[in-house]
Amino acid sequence: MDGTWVRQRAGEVAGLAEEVRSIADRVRRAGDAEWRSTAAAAFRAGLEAEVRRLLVVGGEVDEAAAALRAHADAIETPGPGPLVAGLLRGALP
Amino acid sequence: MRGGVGGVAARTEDLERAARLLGDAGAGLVATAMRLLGVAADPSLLATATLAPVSLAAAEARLAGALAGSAGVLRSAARLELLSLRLRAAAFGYRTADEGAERLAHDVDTGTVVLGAGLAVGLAPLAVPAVPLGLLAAVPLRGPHAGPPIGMAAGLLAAHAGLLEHAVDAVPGTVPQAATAILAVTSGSSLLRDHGTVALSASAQRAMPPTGVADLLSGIAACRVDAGAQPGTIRVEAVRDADGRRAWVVEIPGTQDWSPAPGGNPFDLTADVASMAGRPSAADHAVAAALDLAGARRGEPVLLAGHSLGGMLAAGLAADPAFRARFRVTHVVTAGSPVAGYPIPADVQVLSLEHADDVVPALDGARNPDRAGWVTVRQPVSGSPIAADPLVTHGIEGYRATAALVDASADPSLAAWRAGLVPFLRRPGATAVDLVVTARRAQP
Repeated sequence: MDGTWVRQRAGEVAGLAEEVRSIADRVRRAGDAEWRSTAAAAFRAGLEAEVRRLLVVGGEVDEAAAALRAHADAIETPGPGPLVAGLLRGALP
Repeated sequence: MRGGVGGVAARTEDLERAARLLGDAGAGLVATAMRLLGVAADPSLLATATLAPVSLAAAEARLAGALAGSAGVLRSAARLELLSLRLRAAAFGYRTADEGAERLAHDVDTGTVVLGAGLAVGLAPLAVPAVPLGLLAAVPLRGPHAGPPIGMAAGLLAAHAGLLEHAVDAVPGTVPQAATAILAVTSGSSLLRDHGTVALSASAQRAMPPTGVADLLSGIAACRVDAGAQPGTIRVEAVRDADGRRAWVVEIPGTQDWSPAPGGNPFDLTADVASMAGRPSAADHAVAAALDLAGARRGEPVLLAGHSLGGMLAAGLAADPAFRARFRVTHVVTAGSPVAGYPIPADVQVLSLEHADDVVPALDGARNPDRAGWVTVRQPVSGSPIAADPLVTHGIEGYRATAALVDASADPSLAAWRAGLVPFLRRPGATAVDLVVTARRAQP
């Protein structure tokens, strides 16, 4: 496995972050239901809070993707033992 | 309720569609979580630790946080499921209300109906089972009364969490079934897995025996982390009378850790799901091991008292033949716990405190058995008809106040129930030793 492969996984995770944001959009639409009352207002407030939380969740997933990209960079950066790393890289499946 | 013109306030089709949307969104998040888990646990990724261990550890920590952290995908999925359930409950309440009003409209005029609804509202806290569900929430929604009273009806739904029992009972899949399904979905991962072993540490101190149910709730409150206790703490009280006979009180706290990944604290979401699905958990083992550690002998009476998850554990243990073969459970006290589905034998005396505006005890979708040895005290705590704060309605402080009312009540059922508590309570010559036990789930 090399940095390119890890970067592909990072792209996959970034796609999941987009999915989370898309889910947040759909959740927001649940507030469109025709329902007027104080309980409905409380429900919509809860829904809005959940949408905000989902955007934070999306950000967390973005951070995970970024961390994977950093890991890909680290794999490709020659360290103090490039010869050993190269040998290990060749030995991995 | 009624479409189009004339004071329409809730369209049940809209609510049901929105509930489905939220349910689908929750399911979508679970699928996202599974794919994140797939990346995090990919053996090829883990193998890159030999090349860059530090950056891989950082990436894995980020992935774990995004998956199961406080701002993680799984928690959001669970919250969306709860929002979906609330909407389905609301839609069910409105629909049932509408059908009830339709039936009533055939026989009585509007004025009589409103009067009937008013009576039903007044009686509801005392006799919810006897009041037709339709009458509870329906009538103010109709015709000329469809303006401000709609808030009343929605408020009733929120204030009478008992309606949720009907809703949960009506929707496909009860919470126990959902718990089993959740365990099936997560079977390929370590989430919510409980291998059931615990390690205990304990300290003993002299104490005064409890004086009543409120003291039992105080004992449970003392097990909470915010009261200064270690995570995973339960209390075992040995009460000895003047003749040397012993009785045992076990006080069990509610959920202390909401992560789906089982950690060291056995009083966590994993125990909640296991208990709802009828499976043993490390928390169950903690209670049994604590009684063993304290030296409880077979034949000595045991009272199990718990709040929320603690009450579920108490009920589950009282219903467990293997546990009863080791310990003679004579009494169970639950506060804010959904325990209707636990097959507790008739010779165990049960007292269940349930706030009518606390949704947690309604989650099992059923009322507690109505029998001589099982007393359920049900009353509202918030004083607010709508949008009650769950921290208040479910919190142990509110239940302690309700327990104090039970201690002071002259109701014959409660008086008879309290009379059976004597071996566990303070009286002349009785002494007590408290064993404060901290349980840690042993990692495999």
